[in-house]
Amino acid sequence: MKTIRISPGSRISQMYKQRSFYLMLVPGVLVFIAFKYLPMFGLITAFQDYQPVKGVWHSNWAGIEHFTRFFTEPTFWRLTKNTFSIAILSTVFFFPIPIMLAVLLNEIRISSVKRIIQSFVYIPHFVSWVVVYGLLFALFTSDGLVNLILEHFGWRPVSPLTNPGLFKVMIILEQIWKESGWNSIIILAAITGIDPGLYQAAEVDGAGRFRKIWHVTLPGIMGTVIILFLLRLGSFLDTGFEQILLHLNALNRNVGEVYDTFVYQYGVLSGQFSYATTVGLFKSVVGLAIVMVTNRIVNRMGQEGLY
Amino acid sequence: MMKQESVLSRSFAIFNYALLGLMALLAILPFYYIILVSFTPISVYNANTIMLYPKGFSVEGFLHILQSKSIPRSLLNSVWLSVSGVFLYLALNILTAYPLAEKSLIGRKQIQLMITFTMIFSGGIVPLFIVVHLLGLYNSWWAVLLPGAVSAWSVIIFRSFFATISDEMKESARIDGSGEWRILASIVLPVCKPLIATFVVLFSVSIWNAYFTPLLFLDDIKKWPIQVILQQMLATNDDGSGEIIAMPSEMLKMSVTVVATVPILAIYPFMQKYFTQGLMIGSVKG
Repeated sequence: MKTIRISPGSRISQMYKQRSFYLMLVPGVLVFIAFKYLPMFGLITAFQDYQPVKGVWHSNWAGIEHFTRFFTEPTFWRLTKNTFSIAILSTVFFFPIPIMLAVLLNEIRISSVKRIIQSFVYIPHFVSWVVVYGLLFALFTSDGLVNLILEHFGWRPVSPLTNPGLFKVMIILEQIWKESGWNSIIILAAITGIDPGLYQAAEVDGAGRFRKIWHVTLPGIMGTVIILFLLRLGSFLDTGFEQILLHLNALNRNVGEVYDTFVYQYGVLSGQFSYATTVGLFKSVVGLAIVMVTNRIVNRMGQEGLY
Repeated sequence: MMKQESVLSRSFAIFNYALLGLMALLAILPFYYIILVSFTPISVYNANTIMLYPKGFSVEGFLHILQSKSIPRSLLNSVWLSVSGVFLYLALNILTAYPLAEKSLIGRKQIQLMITFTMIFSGGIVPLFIVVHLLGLYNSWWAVLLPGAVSAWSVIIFRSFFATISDEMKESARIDGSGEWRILASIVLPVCKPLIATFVVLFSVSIWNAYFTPLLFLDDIKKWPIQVILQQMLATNDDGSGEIIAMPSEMLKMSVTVVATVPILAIYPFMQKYFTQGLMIGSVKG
């Protein structure tokens, strides 16, 4: 179905011929508009004194009042520090694990063992963070299994659920426990896509197991890893909102509160809509900037980026 | 097998098996423990401080739980949301992705751009919350299901898959007079069964596990799905209905945790073949 003359008439007639397609698109596009784009326009309430009664059109304007309030609040630095440190820790410690896991799994020769290990390691992905918190409860409260065992041997109990010093460590460890297996699937898929001839060539050149990993496997998955990294950066500041929300309590709020939980607390629970939206807008803009900068750097380095 | 395998390589292999075996064990040990405790008679649980292996078998914990008002109801809510959600999500994703796989579609690039942009920028929780209220959807199942129904990621995977279907087949069907709907239903979808099966798994799991969206948009405790009820119990020792269940608090929490996740774990062995294949197909093409 190619139109040769690009005059309005034929374009419209082509669109008419393909009207079924446009009809099919309607529900999905409506959902995107309603639940992704309308909220984006709703960001304008960050510049208002939004009151639900008055609605978006009639609420008073507040200019950048909420922004100045946010940047001068003492909480701002705490939130920034918490959000960025968790995000960075997660990127440094959590991101490489699925890659290592995939490479190690690939080195297993007995396929039945490989499959069993994979089955086990994927399971944590399929439970909710609430269930994970339930597991933590069973293990780490004062009557939890881990502490009962520690006391049995005469050691001191731990309380990672309330100890602010252990908060970030626990968050990262939990992410590793829960998602490494699942995330390794994509890397494994990339590994199977590597040309076997390359391995044979390496063998001929006298490469042992480790050389093969370094010179064939890792370069072979580099493209996938970079795309995954960029995608991850797109949600860099998201820091696992549900997970953190579930963990927050009076004792660890100082180290645990991040932008998103703050927005939830102030926006939904306290009804300070405009102020919370301001924080959310700030976070989204910074997140976008991070993606754009990293993509540019990656492009400069000669690799394919996201766009 | 390896003629000249060095000592280093051998010991690495042993180390590898041990390490991965340990990771696999760590993945399931917590589940082992809570399932162990949940299936223990209450008296046995009270008598023992540490339980590492089964001592007696009983389902009385679960009977107590299922006799409460809120827990069975929340389970039904979760089932309802998962089942209806899967149909809704599949329909929306397929209907959105299929036209985008048609290269000659006018406006295709723009629509795709609109969709992928949402991957890197979003309005956030509060504007979404306001929008849901403005649309009159607050406290409805729609509010829980719709915002997550179509994501750029799932649409892209479906679209990539659809794009591999030969144009010739579609063209000849068109020449024969078939409409696009018929082509979709009778030619395209049958080929996509593995992908659809994968997404049935992924969608149902993510809806079953949803905690925050139902918490945010459902005011009515009677509509809360199991994850929200579970969280209430973990945080506050009661499920919001004011009922008291006659079980030790720790055991109760573990049993409800088991209940909140057992359906998924039970289907897991059957799901496995679908998602490993399907995800590999999807990711390679994507």
